[in-house]
Amino acid sequence: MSVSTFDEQSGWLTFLGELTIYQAADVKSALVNAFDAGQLAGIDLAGVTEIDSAGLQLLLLAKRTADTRGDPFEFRKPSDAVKSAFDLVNMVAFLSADNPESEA
Amino acid sequence: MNLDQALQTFLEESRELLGDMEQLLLDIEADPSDTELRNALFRCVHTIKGSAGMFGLDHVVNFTHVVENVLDHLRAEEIDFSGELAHLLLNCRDHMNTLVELSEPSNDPVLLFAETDLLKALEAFQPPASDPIVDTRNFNSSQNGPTSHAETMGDADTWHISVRFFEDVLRHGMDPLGFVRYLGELGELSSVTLLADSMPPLESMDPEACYLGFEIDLYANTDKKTIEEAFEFVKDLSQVRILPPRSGAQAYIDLINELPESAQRLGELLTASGALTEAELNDGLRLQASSSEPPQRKPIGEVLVEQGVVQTEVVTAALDKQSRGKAKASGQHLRVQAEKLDKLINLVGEMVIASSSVALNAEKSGDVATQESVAVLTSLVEAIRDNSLDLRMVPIGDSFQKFQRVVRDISSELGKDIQLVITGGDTELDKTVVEKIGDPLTHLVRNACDHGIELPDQRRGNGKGTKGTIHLNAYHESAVMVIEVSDDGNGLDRDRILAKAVERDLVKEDAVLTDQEVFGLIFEPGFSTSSSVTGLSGRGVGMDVVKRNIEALRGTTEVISPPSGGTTFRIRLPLTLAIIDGFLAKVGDATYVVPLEMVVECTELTAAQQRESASEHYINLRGDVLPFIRLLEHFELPGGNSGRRQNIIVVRHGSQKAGLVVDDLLGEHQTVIKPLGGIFAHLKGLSGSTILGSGQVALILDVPTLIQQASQREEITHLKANRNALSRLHAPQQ
Repeated sequence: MSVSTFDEQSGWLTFLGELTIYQAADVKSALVNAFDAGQLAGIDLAGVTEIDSAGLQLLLLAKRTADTRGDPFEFRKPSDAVKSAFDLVNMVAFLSADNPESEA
Repeated sequence: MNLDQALQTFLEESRELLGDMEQLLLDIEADPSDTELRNALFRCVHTIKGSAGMFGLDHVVNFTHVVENVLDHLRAEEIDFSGELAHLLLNCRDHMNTLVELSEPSNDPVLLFAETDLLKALEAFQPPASDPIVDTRNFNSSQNGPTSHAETMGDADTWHISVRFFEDVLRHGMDPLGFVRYLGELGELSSVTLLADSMPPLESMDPEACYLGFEIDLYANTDKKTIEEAFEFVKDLSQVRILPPRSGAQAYIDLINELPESAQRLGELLTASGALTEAELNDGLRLQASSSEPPQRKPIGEVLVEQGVVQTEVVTAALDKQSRGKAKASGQHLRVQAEKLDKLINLVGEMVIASSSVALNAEKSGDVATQESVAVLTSLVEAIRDNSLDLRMVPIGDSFQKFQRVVRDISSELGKDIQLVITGGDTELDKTVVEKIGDPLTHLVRNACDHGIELPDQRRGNGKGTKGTIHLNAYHESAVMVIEVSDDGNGLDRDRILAKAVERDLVKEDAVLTDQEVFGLIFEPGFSTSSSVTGLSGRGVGMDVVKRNIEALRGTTEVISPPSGGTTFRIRLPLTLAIIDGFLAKVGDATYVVPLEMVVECTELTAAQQRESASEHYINLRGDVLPFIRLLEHFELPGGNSGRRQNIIVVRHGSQKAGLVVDDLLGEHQTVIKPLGGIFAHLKGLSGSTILGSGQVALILDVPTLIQQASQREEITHLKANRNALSRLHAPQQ
């Protein structure tokens, strides 16, 4: 089970556990809620244990949505599972592209 | 989302493939010169590895990969097919089977140990490391190819793969990333570009739909077919385009035209990955724009061949593969869950009961029109019954085939030379019976290998060829299925069995037994005449289990072993377990059913015969002695009106006949067998129950048991008579 928490004050959305097709619907509504609630500063991925294509494309979409809105947005502390998935598709840079100063 | 279902399909297909693999290995062993078999073997293993990879079953992939390597060398004829290799590969197959059945990696030390051993053994069959691995096919293809380069990097080369997954792919339990990961195992992913251009904005995006596509450059020593097979599972859920190494710029241009993204975007992408130069791209696009002919009219294959991108044979092979795949899907067979079929058969059973009740009522009503309609209905019901039972019938051959392996393994273990001959493999039998007969048959075959067939030296001494033969045979005999396991060995040693039985107090020392009875002793629990306990048999465990299993299927076993040598185990089984044609008879107030196929004739028990046989339990039937059982006495039913006329039903099982004395004959009746509950399990002489059209319950007689009892009864009568005589002798002295 993926658990998502949104800290409205800091604007950070945190995902824990699996980020796969099984959680996709929940993850999407968490994203929608976070964007609706106001500024989404970024997503914390430290606790993600597993990610598949469904999770990956949702993260892409989150970034894309933030970019379209012109909001600053970053991923924080991607776990090894997340890193290896993005590495496979040659997109590790995507996780940290816009924020080299990201607190690691 | 049906990940489970997809996994189930994977399991089923893998089981089939592993079965094929076993068969192929045995075939290759028989005919090592057939190269097509080797190719088939390689494909088999390759497909298992490929599909396992898609489900992320790394434990299967890792092991299978090593096996596949060895098979690849075998197929390239770099190593020879030896008996030793055959043995090893068969063991590998078994291990793969275990791995596939485990849905996740196991830490079982036994398993790990076995795996390490197998891997070590497989290493010996890898060609020496200094020898560069040359894939001859690829070598040829690059020579015939459009632009034959003498590239420096061996045969590995860069393939371009373009994939667009359809939206449903995730819902089918497939993970596109898994395919990329799998391709990475074929070689090196020199470039992967993820495309998610088709993904709608957040608000309208469906989180369970897939919007991904990939442009991949794979540097690998492989062929188009292997890459295609990687996408086998998503054939219908993706658009895959594979460009072989050194495809001309035009091929890339065509690719760009076929893909959904804009030419501009893809052009950038391909030039970025180094597949195309900018100049080539611009030329190509210009050419495309000026060309009047729409680019996509021709089938891709044709276009590719025209361009010299792929050899005709590659396309033909691919098309051939596709059509074979289709034939498999839409043609001859339909996979149905056994459960659904069981439900149908149950319902048909109920329908048969209901229809006989209708027939009964129609007859009572005396309305001719109704009776006629009912007659039509009844014949339809019968047809439905036969057809639906037929659905469950499968040829027994498939389960016979696995004994090739059993015999092969045992004979090499025992140092015997044994061939297995199978006949009657297409004889059909109820699927449940086929499944349950597997174990007893395995026992009998093992037994024949171990005890039946002698060692080659011994055989030579006995004036026989060194090669022993075990014969598995199946045929129909009236409504009974007969399976025979015979060997051309020494035969059973009657005296030794008898001696052993006396020693174990199973029979009296002075007892006179028929051959059949003596041989029947080997089915006694714990009975073994073997002085040496081998790993296979001889422990005296097994034959009693064989007999019990067969009896549980309402079958019987017969042992034939003429003094001239050889032993035959003959198993008789009912064709189906669900419905039989029965013969109804009334005894007292109860109704009994005798399976019709066992009824030989019905005859009146005349008053004279009744008088004659009042104390005896046999009559003279046209010159033959016919032992019989009075069911009224046998089942201790009330109401013996000996004054009434009685009838005798002559039943036969195998070579034995017996009579069953009943009050009234009621005629034929279709019977749906309902098993008796556990509390009745100890009841001898009954095999099940059924419900009559009137709602009454009737019991189905277990004829083989009754016949046996009738024959024994005769002896007991003699014994009793003797004992009575003895006690009378002793009485006055006390």
